[in-house]
Amino acid sequence: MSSRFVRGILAILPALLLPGCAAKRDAGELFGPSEAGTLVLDAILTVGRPMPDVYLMEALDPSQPFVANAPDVISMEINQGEGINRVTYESVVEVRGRFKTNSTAMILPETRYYFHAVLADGREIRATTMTPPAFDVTRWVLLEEDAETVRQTFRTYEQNGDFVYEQPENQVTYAEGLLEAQFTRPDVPAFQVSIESLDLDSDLVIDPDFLSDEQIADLERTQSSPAIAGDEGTLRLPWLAIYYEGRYRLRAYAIDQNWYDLVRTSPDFGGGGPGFGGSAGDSFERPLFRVEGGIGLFGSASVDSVGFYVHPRP
Amino acid sequence: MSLLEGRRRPPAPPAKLALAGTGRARGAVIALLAAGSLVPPVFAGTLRGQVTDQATGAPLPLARVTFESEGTLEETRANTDGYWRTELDPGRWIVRIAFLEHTMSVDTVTVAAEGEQVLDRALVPESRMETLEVTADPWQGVDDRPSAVRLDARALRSLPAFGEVDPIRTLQYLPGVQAISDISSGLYIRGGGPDQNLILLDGVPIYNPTHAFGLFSTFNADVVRDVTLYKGAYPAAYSGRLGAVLDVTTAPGADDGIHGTVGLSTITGRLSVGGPTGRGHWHVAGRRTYLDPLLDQLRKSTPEIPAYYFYDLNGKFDSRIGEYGLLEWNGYLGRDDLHVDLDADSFVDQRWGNRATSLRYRHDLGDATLALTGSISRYDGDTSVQIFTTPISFGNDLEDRSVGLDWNRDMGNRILRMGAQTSFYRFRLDQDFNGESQGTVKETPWDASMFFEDEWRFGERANVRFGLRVRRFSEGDRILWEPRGSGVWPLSETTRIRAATGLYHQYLQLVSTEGFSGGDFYLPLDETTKPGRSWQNVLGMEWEPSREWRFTLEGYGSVLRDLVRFDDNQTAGDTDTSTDSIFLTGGKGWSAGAELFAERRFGNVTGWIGYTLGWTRREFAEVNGGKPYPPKYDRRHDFSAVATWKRGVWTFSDTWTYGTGQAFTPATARYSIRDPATGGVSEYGYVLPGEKNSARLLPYHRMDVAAIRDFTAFGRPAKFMIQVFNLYSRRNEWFVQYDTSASDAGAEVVQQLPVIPSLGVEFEF
Repeated sequence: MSSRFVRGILAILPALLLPGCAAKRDAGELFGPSEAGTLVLDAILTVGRPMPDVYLMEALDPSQPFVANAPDVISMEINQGEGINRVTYESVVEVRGRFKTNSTAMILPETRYYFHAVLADGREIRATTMTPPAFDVTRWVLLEEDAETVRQTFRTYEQNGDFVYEQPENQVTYAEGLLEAQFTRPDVPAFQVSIESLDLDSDLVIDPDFLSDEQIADLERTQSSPAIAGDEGTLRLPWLAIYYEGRYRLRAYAIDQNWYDLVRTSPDFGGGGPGFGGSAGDSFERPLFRVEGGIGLFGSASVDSVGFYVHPRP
Repeated sequence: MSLLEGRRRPPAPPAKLALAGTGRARGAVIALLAAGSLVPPVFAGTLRGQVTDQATGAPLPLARVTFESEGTLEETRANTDGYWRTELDPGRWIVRIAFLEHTMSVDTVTVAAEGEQVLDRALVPESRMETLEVTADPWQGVDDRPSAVRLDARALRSLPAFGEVDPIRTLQYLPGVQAISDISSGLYIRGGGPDQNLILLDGVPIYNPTHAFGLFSTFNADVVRDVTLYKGAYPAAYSGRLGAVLDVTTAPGADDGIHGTVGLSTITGRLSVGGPTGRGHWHVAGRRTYLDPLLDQLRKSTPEIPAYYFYDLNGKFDSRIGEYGLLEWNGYLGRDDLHVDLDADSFVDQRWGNRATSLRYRHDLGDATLALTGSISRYDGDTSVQIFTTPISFGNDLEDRSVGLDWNRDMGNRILRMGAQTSFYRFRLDQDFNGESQGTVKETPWDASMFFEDEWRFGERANVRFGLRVRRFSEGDRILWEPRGSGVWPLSETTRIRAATGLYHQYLQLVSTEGFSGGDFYLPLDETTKPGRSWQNVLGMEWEPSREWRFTLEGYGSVLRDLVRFDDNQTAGDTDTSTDSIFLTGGKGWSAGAELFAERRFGNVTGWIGYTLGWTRREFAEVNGGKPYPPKYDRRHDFSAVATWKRGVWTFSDTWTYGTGQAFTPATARYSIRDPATGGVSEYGYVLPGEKNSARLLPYHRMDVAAIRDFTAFGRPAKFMIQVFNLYSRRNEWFVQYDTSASDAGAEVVQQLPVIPSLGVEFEF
């Protein structure tokens, strides 16, 4: 083989391929085979509360504008076994996809509930949940940061109702101390915490120089944690969940397996790993949906909560 | 003075191989010599020596030494340290010592009966950029094993680079070796990820061989003598990884005085100095980024611009001890440091780096070598983040203290290698969130192993190797048997078949993010989990129509069992740190493919074309519904062309790579459910992931070019370099983001790097 031939090949080859510079394409090509029409169940049973509203929708094509889409349902019920304590649901006419019951039954702890719905097109969707034991936080406290000794113990809703926000024990200064719930751990897979700012026009307590005005405007007033093990019988609230001053309601949930599997595997609810590569990156994997015939959540939890007031730093 | 000079020892089997004049006669001659060479000739004299590079002092492994006398032609090869030895009949012999890209030395020697002479030769390198060497061929002076590739320093330095010459990035042009992105120097080899590669610097493992989150490797090209990559079915002398081995060797100081280089690239400043000392050599080198002042200025107006630097230092020292001993010390220190000040309550601090040192004593026992090595390698990475007063920290340390003994005996047509190694590890993994520990792992396992390899040579072009490694890891009380084997056999004058197989286990797990490596950490498997296991097989053929040309076709197949994968879906605050809690276990996988490699080794234009056709699959019960899936780096087609053209004082090089687009998981639907804890509803829902990695990005291709001009500055050689990364600025696809912030928002492709030119200058003294 002559060197002239080689030189020619090696020199010309890259040049021949130069026209392929553009790496643009229709965004529609970036979606997989559509699963539009997949049934999406959303129902959460809270121990000690009445039977909840149920939402049953259909998933949409990911490349199309998002609008709620509900299927035609023939029958829907939640029971505690074949024909046991059967609770039936009816569609709410004003809100497509929402179903209500007239039952006044309360959700029982440590009880298995079954969900079943039949659709007009013959599809069926089923799910089941085992409710957690009753869960009460023994005390909500503010700890000293270094010594982790109790600085103050919050008053509860049971003690003071909505006046808890005015109790001296429930006044905290932003970023001073550690907020913690202490309890005897029930036998549940995990816990989750949510926090809700109740004063919707209150000012910021943070001073985020690095955020744009638009980003600041988008700061959430309601947030939830990832699934937390709570092995030591404590749940600690990070200050990074609090952006505004004013009244807050903090809820601690002892959650069932279905709820746990969803929130630990869905990046949308705080789960998944610290993957790299955008929403279709390393950790973009289908969450664990414990629903037969669809996706979504039929979960249950026991919950306790506390209220307190956050003051800005002096 | 040679290591062996003045040595008197009893006659030993000669390391000589006859050069049969024709291929037809060769088989018979090989067979005869295989038997006959075991018997030393009566009254033979001994001739021995070491072959080194005159410029660097580095030994030239497997250099070819021929002896001619009155129509008799004999040959031997130097060992991997450049030493050779043979026994010849008394008389006058013409001795030729040759090594690729070096001027051949020719001497006339009179061999006396039962006498011993030393013939050390330092070969003069040819013009440094004249040719390019990439080979796995005994004629080229490299290890003659299937799937082994060796790149020497000149090859590394002549190819286009991304701002900084990088030995690991250069390997990504080889068939079977892939990069995951423009910013990653991680090696994805034959369907294995960076977590399955053993990376050694002078025999010591380097646990995180990257700077700048993977943009550059830790290996400073100024000190690298050569890089050997075993892409699969690696020999018994190595262990501990399921996939490949990268063995990087640094160069000793020069023999003929103090020499060095000073270099400036767009990214770093570099200094390398070395020379002789006493009965040995020394060599030190360092480099550091110098963008700090620029970043400091920019930070005054934009505080979130990070403060960042990296540096690394290399040291090497060797000295002869007595007549037969050689002591060698190697050291490496590298650090990366990143600090971002976001506001008074928010910052990011990240530091990571490697430290490695080894001390090796090698004793020559005539036809055998004994080496005792002690080494320490440490990797530590610490991340400290504070977001709105909430502290988050993550730390990982790994320390590996090893001691090993290797024995090597070369009997001409047979080489025995044996060794034993013990490694004591110390792992620490700490995670804290908001003042609470999220789990701490402290493990101190140990690993003991022994290996044996028996190599039989049948003439100059055929060999068979049988090896076995036995390992015991303290966790799980398991004894692991790892048989290895390989062979090379000629089919004709110009063709050979090559095959290799081996069983491998892996206990140490690297947890890495596909894309950047700043958050990498290591953990050992404990007794709750079986170690990963792979069975690798290689079968190939090579065709050398001339010394100029070489073609190889190699097929590979690996079966993997008991794979683990970091469980991304762990619960915050879970204090269970057993392996089966941290990892998804019991994974399976396989990879298979074929590689074509066409190489031109001599002439003004040199280079290669490589093509790989490959498949890779993984399977975990908890991933993708338990169905097999292709990992992100499964690539059906991978093509690369590399060329270097020398013209006068200019050297031009270009590379072009093409690969099937990476696999990614596409969205298949959009759905809405409430946040169970807050009851909040995402206005435009969430996207539903489809089958894992069931879609592909667009094909990747990129061209890099470089022009290097040799000139003289202050009477010393110097070089000026212009390099262009991604010449035609193809914005290759990196990853996909699905935007659910609006009703009609869709998918967006995040692109990789555009064209990036860079300059460099280098002075030798």
